Amino acid sequence: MKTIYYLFGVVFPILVSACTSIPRNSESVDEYPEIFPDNVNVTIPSNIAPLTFYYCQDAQDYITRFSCGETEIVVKGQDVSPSCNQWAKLIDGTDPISVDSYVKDGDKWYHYKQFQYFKAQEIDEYLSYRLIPPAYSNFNDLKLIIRNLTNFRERVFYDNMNLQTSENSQCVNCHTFRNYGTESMQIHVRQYLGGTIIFDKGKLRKVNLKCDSTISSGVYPAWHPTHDYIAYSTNITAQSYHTSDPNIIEVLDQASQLILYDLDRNTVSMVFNNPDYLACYPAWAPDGRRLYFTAAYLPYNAQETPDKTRYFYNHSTEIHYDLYYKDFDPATKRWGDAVKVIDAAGMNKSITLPRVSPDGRYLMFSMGNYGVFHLWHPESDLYVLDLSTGQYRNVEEINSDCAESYHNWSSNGNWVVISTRREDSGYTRLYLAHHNGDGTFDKPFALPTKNPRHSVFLMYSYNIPEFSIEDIPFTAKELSGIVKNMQSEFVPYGE
Amino acid sequence: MWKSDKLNNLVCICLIVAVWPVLAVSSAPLLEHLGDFSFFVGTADFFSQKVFAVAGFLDYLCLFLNQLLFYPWLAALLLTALLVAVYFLSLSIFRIDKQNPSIALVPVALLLATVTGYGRHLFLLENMNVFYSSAIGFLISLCITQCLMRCNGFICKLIALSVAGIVGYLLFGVYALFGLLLFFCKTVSDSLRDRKTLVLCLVTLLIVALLPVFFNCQYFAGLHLMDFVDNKNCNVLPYILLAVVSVVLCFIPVKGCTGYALALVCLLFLCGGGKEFRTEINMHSALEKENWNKVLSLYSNYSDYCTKLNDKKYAALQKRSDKLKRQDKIKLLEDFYENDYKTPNRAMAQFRLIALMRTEDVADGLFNSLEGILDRKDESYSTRLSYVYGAEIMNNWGMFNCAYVLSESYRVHAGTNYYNLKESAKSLMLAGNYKLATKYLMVLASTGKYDKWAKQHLDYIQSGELSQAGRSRYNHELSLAVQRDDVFLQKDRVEMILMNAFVLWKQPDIENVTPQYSLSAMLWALYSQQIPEFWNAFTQYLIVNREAKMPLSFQEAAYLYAKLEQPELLQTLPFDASVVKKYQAFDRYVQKNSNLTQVEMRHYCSKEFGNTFFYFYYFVRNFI
Repeated sequence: MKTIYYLFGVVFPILVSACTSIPRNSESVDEYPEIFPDNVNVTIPSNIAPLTFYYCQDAQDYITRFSCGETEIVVKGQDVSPSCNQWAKLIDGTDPISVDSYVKDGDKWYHYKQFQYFKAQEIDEYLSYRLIPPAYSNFNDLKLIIRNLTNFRERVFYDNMNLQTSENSQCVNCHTFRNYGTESMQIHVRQYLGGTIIFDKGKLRKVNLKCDSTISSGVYPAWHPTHDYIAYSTNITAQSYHTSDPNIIEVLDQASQLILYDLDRNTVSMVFNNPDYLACYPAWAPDGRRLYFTAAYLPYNAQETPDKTRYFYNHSTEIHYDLYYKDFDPATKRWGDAVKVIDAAGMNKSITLPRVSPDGRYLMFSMGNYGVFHLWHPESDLYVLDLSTGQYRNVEEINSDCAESYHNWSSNGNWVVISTRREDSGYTRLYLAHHNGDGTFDKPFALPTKNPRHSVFLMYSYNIPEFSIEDIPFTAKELSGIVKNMQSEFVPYGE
Repeated sequence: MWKSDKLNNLVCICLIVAVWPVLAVSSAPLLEHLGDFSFFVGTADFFSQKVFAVAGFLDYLCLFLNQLLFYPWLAALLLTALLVAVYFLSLSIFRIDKQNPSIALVPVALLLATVTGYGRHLFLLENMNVFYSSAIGFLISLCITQCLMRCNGFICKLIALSVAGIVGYLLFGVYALFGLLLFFCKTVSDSLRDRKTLVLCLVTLLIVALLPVFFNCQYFAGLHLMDFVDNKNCNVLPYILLAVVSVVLCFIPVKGCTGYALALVCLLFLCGGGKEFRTEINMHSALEKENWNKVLSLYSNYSDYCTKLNDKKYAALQKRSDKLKRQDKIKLLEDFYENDYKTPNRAMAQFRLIALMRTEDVADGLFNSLEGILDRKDESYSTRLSYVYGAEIMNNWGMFNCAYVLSESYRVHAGTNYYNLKESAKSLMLAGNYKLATKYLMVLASTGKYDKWAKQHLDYIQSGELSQAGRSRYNHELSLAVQRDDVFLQKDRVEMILMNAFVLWKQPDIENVTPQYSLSAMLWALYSQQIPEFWNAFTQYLIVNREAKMPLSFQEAAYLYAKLEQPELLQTLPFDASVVKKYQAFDRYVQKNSNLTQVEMRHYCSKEFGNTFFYFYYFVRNFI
């Protein structure tokens, strides 16, 4: 009996008081709450992990109500992180999720304007990226990570700290997949134990694409969608530092070409090689019959400046990449002529990173004032080109006043991931935006993290986001072992 | 009268506890160098980032404890407590005569040697974790051994072994395996009585051998494991000795008072080997007390020590190379300079430079033959000036981009360094990049030491004060900001290039030039061996420092400039007679011995001319 009284008298009230109730007398505020990240009225995939945020204002208390149809979830606290189970109930169905924010300031509760999460098509289950500190003279501590977008699980699939030493450093990136699947994928390792690791149809190889005809090993890759080819750029790249320009860093090529690696024949052939041009960023059309790329015309004048590197840096603001394509016959490996699609130089602009949508209708690219590396250019924005009409526009709805750059389409073409520095102008973060199918996009939202403050304390930048529909078939240890134990195979030049 | 074992225990504990004030007092000056502490934030993300890796939990724990280093006495107390715990566990685990437990001091002494970083620099470490990770790590090893020994029954022991092995390894890394190894040694030494004991030993060995194969251990002794193994600066000797002694003590009973003697030998041996470390500590301590003469005297003694050592080695090499071909001889000597040449380390050089700058005899003895090796590849020397002036250069004189770049390149990420994060934030605020400054300030606001500063500046930003009245504080610095933009390519030398721009392009109006500014501008030019640029800075220095005596090193550089560029100055400028004589002697010597190789010339020149700018200019390379 005493136990029952104890339960009702002590425990029960505690339990009841722990249940959060919506404040009844709250004053309405006709503006949205200030939250971070700003996920107000965004469109989200129907299989995405829970969106979390925190209230930027300091107040006594916070209550957030999520509702969708009959389902209602209430979360207390400044940091709003619904659990995966709670979220699963909300994300079910097509009705939007409504979010009501109640903030207690002093003795009064304020009810902010309701915002919504609109649901749309599913997104690819996985997203791979590199986490890299924005360090300028060392590249220690790089990780390649694959993240499950339907929850918060991340897995490191390559960690350069497993192999590199204080005297032998190693850089790794350019993880790419063919057609969003991981049964054909590659990563690029530079410096210590360097080489390109290619996994294709169960076969592993480690190659060195540098030969007499190429200026470097392969850098930016693009898997051919239907045949066993990979297009690469080769680049002589250097990084420099501004003395007062707020852009701080300038990454420039002083030479670059485009090559094609034939996996079956194990040969490399030239796609674009003109010493007066800098060619970069190959990207295939979905049918594999056209290769888009960017190229800038800047002939080197040795008389003006004997030091070639210095020459290019002196003329860095004159380096403007245009958008080109070359037609390609996969059966015969014959190329058409280079055709200019957008004359960015004529506008004093520079295009980088063309990416064609999976339906072949649109091409998204980044455009800045000059140069080949736009993450350090706050003016760089994303543009979308309608390939059927040739018209392109600034995708204002997903751009910000900071740099937007490396982007990719999801496999169904309904989503894009963009690399952006909008949060703090210094660290790259990933945002996802819904494509409406007509070249317009909805407001982007931040890659969901379990802790809404994760981005503030994370001192790494996200890099090279790539969608995939399946997990990578290697553990970090396995890949480290492959990198360490496989000898780099020299690839000869041949047609 | 107490029993001898209790008396011995008391003596041993007193000896250990005596470490507390010694460590606190001697280390306090350097432990208070706040900027170099490992960064820690109490967020779930930081925790999960760390713990994610094998041995990450221990690393996380030590990062947390490192915050105590802000309070040196507390930090030293904790360390002493850990040493006492190690002592008692050693008594319990090893075959130590309980009547004379002094031998237990030996592991304690060796552990102290690892913790104090024999041969390392405590306060310039990028990662301070070694301070606690070694102590806690070894304690964990002993605890695991003790727990396994106390388990009764074969099944219980087997389960404990597996759990301790797997879970312990994931949490504490190599230390857990070492605990298992000690258990193995104890079991073997207690005799392999039966099959079950044999099975236990085999299982132990299997776990120790196989776990690292399946799970890479990321951390050890506060570093990434690969860094620890590969790092020349990290002396592994005390770690090896500690491991060996621990294993030996499992087998060999030691009786008598040999423990005191052995512990003393350990300490003397290891302390004797830590001359560099001790000199550095003492120099830093003297610097903090502004005892400039003592700093210079310590440096001078250490230089003499290095010179004697180098002379001996050089003489031995000369003997060895007598029969070699000329090319091989040159190679041998060059290798010696590259790899074995003993010099004051970077910290000592910095302290000396600071002391020189602060004394009236500034730059009379600016150059030292030991600093800068023929084609030395150590790029850490390339950033010497910025280390000396640090924030003064980067933030007070408007090198905003530099501060941001450098702070990032010193890995202000995943929590490395409070100081650079703070300087980054300040630099960004001055440059008007409030967005990124806010991020850093929010991170600093969650730390224990900089939270007030960070919150205050966050308020400034949010209220707009920083952009208005707040910035008037920095008017002078802002006026010196580099206006002309250019790009520079050399990695790791960006601050030298920016100083170049700062020194040469943006000369402030003469009324705004401080003596310190003009001095550092000239120093930069001297160290970068750019004679014409030196002259520009020199003329400015003359205007600003009319009353000051012209230091010898500057006269030497000016004389060299006159010789090379403007001979007419030789007649007009009042060079000290000693400077003229020195140059003439140097010139004669070089002419007379022109048949020597560069390496030989350098070695012999260093004896008489090593402390002159002439020598520095002609023989030292890659200094900046």
